[in-house]
Amino acid sequence: MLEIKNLTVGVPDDSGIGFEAMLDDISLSVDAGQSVGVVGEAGSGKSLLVHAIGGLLRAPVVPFGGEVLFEGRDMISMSADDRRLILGEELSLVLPGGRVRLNPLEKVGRQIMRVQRDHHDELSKVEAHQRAVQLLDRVGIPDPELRAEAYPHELSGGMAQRTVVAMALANSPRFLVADEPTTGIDVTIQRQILEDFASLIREDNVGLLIVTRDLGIVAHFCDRVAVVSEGRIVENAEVREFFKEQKHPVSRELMRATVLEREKAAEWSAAAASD
Amino acid sequence: MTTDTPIQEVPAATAESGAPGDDVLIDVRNLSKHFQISRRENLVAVGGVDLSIGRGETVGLVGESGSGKTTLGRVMLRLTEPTDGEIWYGGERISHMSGKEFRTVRPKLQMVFQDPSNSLNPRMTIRTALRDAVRILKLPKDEREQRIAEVLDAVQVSDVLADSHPEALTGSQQQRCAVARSLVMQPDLIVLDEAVSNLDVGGRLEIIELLQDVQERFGVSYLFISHDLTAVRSISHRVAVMYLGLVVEFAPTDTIFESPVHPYTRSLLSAVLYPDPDAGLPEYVLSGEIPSPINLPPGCNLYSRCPVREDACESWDAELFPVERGGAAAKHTAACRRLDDILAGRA
Repeated sequence: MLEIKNLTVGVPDDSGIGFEAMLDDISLSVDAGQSVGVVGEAGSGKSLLVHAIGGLLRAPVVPFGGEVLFEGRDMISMSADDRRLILGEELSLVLPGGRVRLNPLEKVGRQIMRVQRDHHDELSKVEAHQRAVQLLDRVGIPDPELRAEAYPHELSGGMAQRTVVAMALANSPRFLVADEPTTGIDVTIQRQILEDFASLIREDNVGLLIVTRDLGIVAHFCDRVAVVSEGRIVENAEVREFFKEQKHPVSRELMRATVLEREKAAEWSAAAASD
Repeated sequence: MTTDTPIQEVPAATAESGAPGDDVLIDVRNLSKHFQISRRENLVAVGGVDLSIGRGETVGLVGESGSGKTTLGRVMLRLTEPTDGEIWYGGERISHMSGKEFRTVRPKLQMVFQDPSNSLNPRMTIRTALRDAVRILKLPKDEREQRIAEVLDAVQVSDVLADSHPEALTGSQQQRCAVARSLVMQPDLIVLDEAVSNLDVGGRLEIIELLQDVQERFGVSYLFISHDLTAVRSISHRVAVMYLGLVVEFAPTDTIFESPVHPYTRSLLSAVLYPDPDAGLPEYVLSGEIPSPINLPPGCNLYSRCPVREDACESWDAELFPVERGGAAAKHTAACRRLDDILAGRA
């Protein structure tokens, strides 16, 4: 469904002819009904990949080669108009940062309505509003009718991020590209949202590419995992295989740090108990 | 509660009088913070919390959105004023001090925020920012420079980094500097509000280790507020779990993680995703959604979602009860009407 082929993205270098690659020959595919996790340390380029898929690259960062095919259509080379028809409708992005993704001057309910009506002008305001409230409820926001009338600054960080997720789901997309979608959200709500994604994948055959730093999410909500380091994919494996054995040093280090964090935590609390 | 065992005293004093003992640095008694949103809508952010933090101790504060944990941290430092209750620090009731008196105390109570840009002025180099912070203490120049050098050494920030602006630093480097900025005031307590939440695993490990070193070196106490249970476990001596403005369980860290009793604590722990696909996803136990904190009905706050609720729970006023019986003052307390049933395996 989503096929990234030899994607190279970078900035032109001082010579004027060459470039510095920030994403280097990336190839990755995600089928319908499949969930692929993309992991890597900060600065590895994983968020840039999401921007590239959504056609959000801005000068001086430009694509230097390759394609991002969504159902055979190249997201990189298509016109902005064509892309606008796809984004938010067939393919949705969830970007991190919560409140910064929302229009500070518009009530959140209206923003969710706008996403719907931009793609479906046959929807009445009442229908769109009802669905907006339903979506807020779906992402675990209490008092959704009340919250629909709130401005982004009146929401907590976690609620703002959940609103971003609600907007991405508004038009029942067939593919989701999510960049740290649950960072800053409570564990119980995170679980709810991820379970929601999982049922979309299972029941509606939705495809999911999820960028995360949390190997726990990968372990339970992904079929495959791709590890990005310095703009390259260094490992691409089936999840069970990956957790049994990581082949690349960067993957091993990521796994080691994660396990170490938990071990240190358990050590500390045991030591504190015996004081 | 059964009547055949004597009721244990909960260590945090509940009587509103008298300074706490010497090892206790901060003692918070029946602290509340309400926001009157409109004539008929009252939001209880913190609803009557008793908590103590010892000298050189880290108390972890966990809870989800709306738990009141951030508000509690802010009220403790009087960044926002309490609606009711008392805050005792070093034998003095700081909650009731005048603004002028409190200003002399304030440098000893510091805060580090989730976003380092709330601690670091983007237009100053780190060193300049540290000098600016201690200006209020009116130290002689050599003493000031020595203190800054000591603090930069304690947080392992090189001179090169210290003479840079925050934007040139990575997230974890910025947080090191934010910690430096609070340390330069020689505080007794630092409230860390989601201080490692924006960092990746490497950054978190770094900062937690740094905080541990600093605590060992300077004896500073921490209130470590976080939704990240692993981070809390890595640094806390005791952990308080909050839900909708109240502490529902309070115990040594290991106890909270290995043998929690409160239904909310248990569901929180079961929602943590372990990096092991074969670990299985535990059924998460809470049903429904978190109720609105506006005009909360009386009775147990967890009633609407609790997997072990009984009808009588709906009107039960939550109170922390000791979990163990016999021996010294209870170290493990939980606010559940069905505590006995839970401990006996009947719930």
